[in-house]
Amino acid sequence: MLKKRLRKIPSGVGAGIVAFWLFVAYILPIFVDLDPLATFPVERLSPPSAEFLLGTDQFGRSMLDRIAAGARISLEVGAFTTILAAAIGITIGLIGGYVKYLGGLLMRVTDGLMAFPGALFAIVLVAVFGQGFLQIVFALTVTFVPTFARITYGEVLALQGAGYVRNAVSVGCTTPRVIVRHILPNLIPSLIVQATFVCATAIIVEASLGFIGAGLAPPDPSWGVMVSEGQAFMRVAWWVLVFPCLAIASLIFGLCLLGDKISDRVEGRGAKTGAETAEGVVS
Amino acid sequence: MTPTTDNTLPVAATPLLKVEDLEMKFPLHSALLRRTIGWIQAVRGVSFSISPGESLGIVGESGCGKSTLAETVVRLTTPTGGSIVFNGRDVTAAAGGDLRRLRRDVQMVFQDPFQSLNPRMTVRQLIREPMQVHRIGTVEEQQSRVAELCDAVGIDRRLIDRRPTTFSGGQRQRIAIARALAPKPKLLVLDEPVSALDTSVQAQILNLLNELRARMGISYIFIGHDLAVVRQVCDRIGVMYLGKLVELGESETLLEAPRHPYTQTLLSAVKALEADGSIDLTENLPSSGEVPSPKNPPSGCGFRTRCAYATDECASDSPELLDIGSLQEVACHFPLKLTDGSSRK
Repeated sequence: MLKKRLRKIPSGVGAGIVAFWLFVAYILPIFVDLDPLATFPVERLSPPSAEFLLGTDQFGRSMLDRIAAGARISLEVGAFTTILAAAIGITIGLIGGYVKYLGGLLMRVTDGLMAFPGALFAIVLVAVFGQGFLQIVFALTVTFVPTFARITYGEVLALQGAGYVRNAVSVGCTTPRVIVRHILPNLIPSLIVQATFVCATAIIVEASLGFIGAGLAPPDPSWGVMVSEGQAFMRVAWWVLVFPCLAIASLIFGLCLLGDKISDRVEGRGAKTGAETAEGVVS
Repeated sequence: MTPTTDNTLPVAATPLLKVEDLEMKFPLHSALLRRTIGWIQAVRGVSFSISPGESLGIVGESGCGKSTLAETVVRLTTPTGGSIVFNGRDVTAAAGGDLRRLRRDVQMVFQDPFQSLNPRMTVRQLIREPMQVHRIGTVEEQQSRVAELCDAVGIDRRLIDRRPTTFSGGQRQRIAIARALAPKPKLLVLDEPVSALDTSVQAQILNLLNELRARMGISYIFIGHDLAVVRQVCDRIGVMYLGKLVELGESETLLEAPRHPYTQTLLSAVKALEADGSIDLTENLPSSGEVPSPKNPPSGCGFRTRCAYATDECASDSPELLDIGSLQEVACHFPLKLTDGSSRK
């Protein structure tokens, strides 16, 4: 039902929302001087005004500046996690799919990793190595490697029977060439779909970790941290809580819409996708 | 013309391809423990040879093992028995460099042109790739050969940078043929190359194949289930039933005077369908009974369960493919007499 309603949203909306946040995170700071850590003690907890468009928090820091800086953190966690997890996962999947005796072993290890909750792993990691961006990206990468490995592995096995792959073998292509020229290009659409969902999930997990205090440490303007801090002032200063929440919700919504539209496109072209598993990950 | 014990027809001194007792079986695994509980005997001892420039057709019903035979001959799979000798070299278990050298000389055209062309490559890349893979010629030579091949198969040169998804089935099969011809193979294995195409397009592709063979002197193995199609392209036809060749001979002789009861059955199906203009072996045949499963083929002659002439001998002894004169071989204890009116036109 919800799915049908979502279908009606024009395809530009998802991309538009993501583009908006990219703009806020990277283009806006070029033109406007943003400082998420500067405090204006006199102005603390002041409502949205001409001077502070989104108001200020309990230390008198501009919410607009903090949300823009938070967008940067969220997008970078999402992007780095996705790129690293995709690179490692696709490699594992390709090796598993092509080297028969390694395939079973690699996939069992992958299954083991998949059974382990990513947030829990991140908490352990933070407990051992302290809070920080790298710890979070590392933990999330480990969490999402299996997703990419599984999809790649499955598609490689499926594509080995595909007409054009058998044709490539019969023509005389070497195995590396078959993988790089014939299998990988046909995997990319479904992997892109997967990547948008992994990116969205990584952003949610990072925010959740910030919220429970296991993510980035409080002065850093992570959206999760901001939601956590804003709770205390919910009754007197709604903007401190509401704007970070809206930011998280809109970015995730945008990414999911974008992924959905890409997956529609890909399906329309007749290729298989991992869209079903992707929805499972997000929900 | 006395019967000989030699299983092959008198052909040129050095056949291009000589296949002997080729066998291909696939294990059947139990659901839980993956134990081997049986075998699918797709190809059960097939022997034939092809001279340079010759065109051999293999016909049979679906499931008779003809596609497996094609895949084994091009060595997409390794046979479980018998031997394949190509150009004097045993390639039965070739691997690595030997296998790649074989791939250059033996190319394959697949049945479904909608599946067999990588949708992410352009026509130019598709046709050039075999030359790149086998390091044939310089970049310029490869490019000019791509253009030549486009002309040869009737693909507009201006469409060379398009992807196969923008072409029709017939055009895609032309592209697939150009790709297969690119490394100048000596043998082209065509696995039902026209059965996925419309009838009008079929004729064009068959004409193209005949024209190319006349011009380039390549040998063909043409797998098909439509006798009318196969006879248009092939010098000789082998009839396959349940993983074995039951009859092999010159196309016209074999079609005019079949000596194996199965071939006769096929041809009577032809007569029934002649008005159609197409002879499709996937249609129900007038012979009685079901095709036995390749999991559990009958003892002796594979066809005996459906054969009107079967005796006890057919159940106990498997007939070998024997030369019976007029360049024809038949695997039957009681081949039909030439005077047998029912088999004559």
